[in-house]
Amino acid sequence: MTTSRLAERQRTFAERLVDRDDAGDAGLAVYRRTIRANYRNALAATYPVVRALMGVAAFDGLVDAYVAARPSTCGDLNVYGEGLADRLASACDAGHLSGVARLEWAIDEVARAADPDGSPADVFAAMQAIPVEALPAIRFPLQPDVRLVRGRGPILRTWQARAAPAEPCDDDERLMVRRDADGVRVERLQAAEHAWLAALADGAALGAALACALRVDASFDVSAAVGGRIADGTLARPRSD
Amino acid sequence: MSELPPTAGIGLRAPHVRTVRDERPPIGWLEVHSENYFADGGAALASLDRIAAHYPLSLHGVGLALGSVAPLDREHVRKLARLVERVQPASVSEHLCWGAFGGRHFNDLLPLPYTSESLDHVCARVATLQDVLRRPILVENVSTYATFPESDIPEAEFVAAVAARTGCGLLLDVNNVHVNARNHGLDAGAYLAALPVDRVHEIHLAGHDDSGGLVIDTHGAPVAPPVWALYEAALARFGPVPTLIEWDTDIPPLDVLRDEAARAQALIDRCCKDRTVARFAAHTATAAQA
Repeated sequence: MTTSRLAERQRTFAERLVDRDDAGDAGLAVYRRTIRANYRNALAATYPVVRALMGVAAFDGLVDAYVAARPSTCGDLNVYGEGLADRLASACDAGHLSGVARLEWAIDEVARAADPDGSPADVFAAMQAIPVEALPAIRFPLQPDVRLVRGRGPILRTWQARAAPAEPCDDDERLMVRRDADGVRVERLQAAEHAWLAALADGAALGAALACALRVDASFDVSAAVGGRIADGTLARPRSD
Repeated sequence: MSELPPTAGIGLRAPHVRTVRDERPPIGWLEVHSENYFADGGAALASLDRIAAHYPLSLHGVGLALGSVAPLDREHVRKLARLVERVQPASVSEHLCWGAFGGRHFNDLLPLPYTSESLDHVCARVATLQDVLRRPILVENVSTYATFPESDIPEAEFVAAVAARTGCGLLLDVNNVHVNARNHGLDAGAYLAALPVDRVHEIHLAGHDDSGGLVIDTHGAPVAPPVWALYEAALARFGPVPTLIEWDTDIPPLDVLRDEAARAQALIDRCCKDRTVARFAAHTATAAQA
């Protein structure tokens, strides 16, 4: 027997699982309930503060809609849920919620990320081996366990308090998330600081990235920024490719 | 195939990782879900390294969906192989089910029709996985809530055939046998009798929900009395097999899991004792005849 009959069986079963008009039988209902609960539980683990802020029923509704719009494509539920912030941003007008969701996804990613590529001393040593005139064309990637977050604030204060802000805010808030010995550390960034780190994260060379910061703030201290971000483990080894 | 000790272990889930890692309570062995350690780095993996240094470890996959006609997820397999290489587990297992179709994953253990086509397909997938991992795996029978008219192989025979054709071992989930027996009118005793004695290398015990129409495998309650009874029958047939207490929802304090494991251990110990007595009796009878 070829795989065609098995494929047809799996196709029809899959269609019935997602067909809201198909009442199905008791067995199919068990699978639907289990699958729905699996996604709700998985995203509740990734987005605990968003869930607390929204309330369980509203969060579960959001997850159901998200799953329908962006079905899982992977057998590992730990990596499912990216983009819930975009869904939140379009589904409700509480701007800080999507920001908190971006922060929680970044925290989740940071926890799963590869270990740092070299210590600060390694990065300094690699940098010192590069002629000064060549440095602007060199890329300094962010360490694998560093993520940047930008969204409508207040994000950090809301996330820490697990409570909706008393005062709405229309300004963007910029954050950096990284692993540290105690788990995850979140740091608030100024606009210029975020600008050059975001450019580095996007693959820009050092010179172009620093120019981004200077466009935001002409008084931005380039030397202090580069030295400081190597010393605190934000930047990985330089790459000339 | 499996180097787990013939003792009772527990499924290690997030709420108890820190306690087990730091306090190392006496537990026969531990099983974790493979996917929970697919990360590229970080604290969870570091914890698993420390735990693996002190306990026999079983990696139990829940997401590979071996029976899916969709292509085997090479990235998933790569991460599993990387994890196996890293922690050198005593056992690696997956489920006899499907879960993905047409690019969509349902992240659940979906039922296969038990046909020769399914058998060919699953066996090819198991063989591929074993080739990649360079070791035999264990495959687990799943609880099901649907059957298919085209199924023409009894479930237990299907499970046994996978082991016979691929050389894999079996992870016998006794609770799943009970659930399926209740839901589909199977004879649980006949199910056990259809499985080859030398292929069952691990047993799972878990709780279920029997409050409604179908019996649901919840992994969220103590092992039920009929499952303990079936477990005793399984021990009588398969001998002292490594046995896991699985609890995945409404996870109780670690002591509750250890109490369940202790109950399983007592039955394993009794099984060992019974077998020793039986061997002694047989030896005595033989000697008397001589």
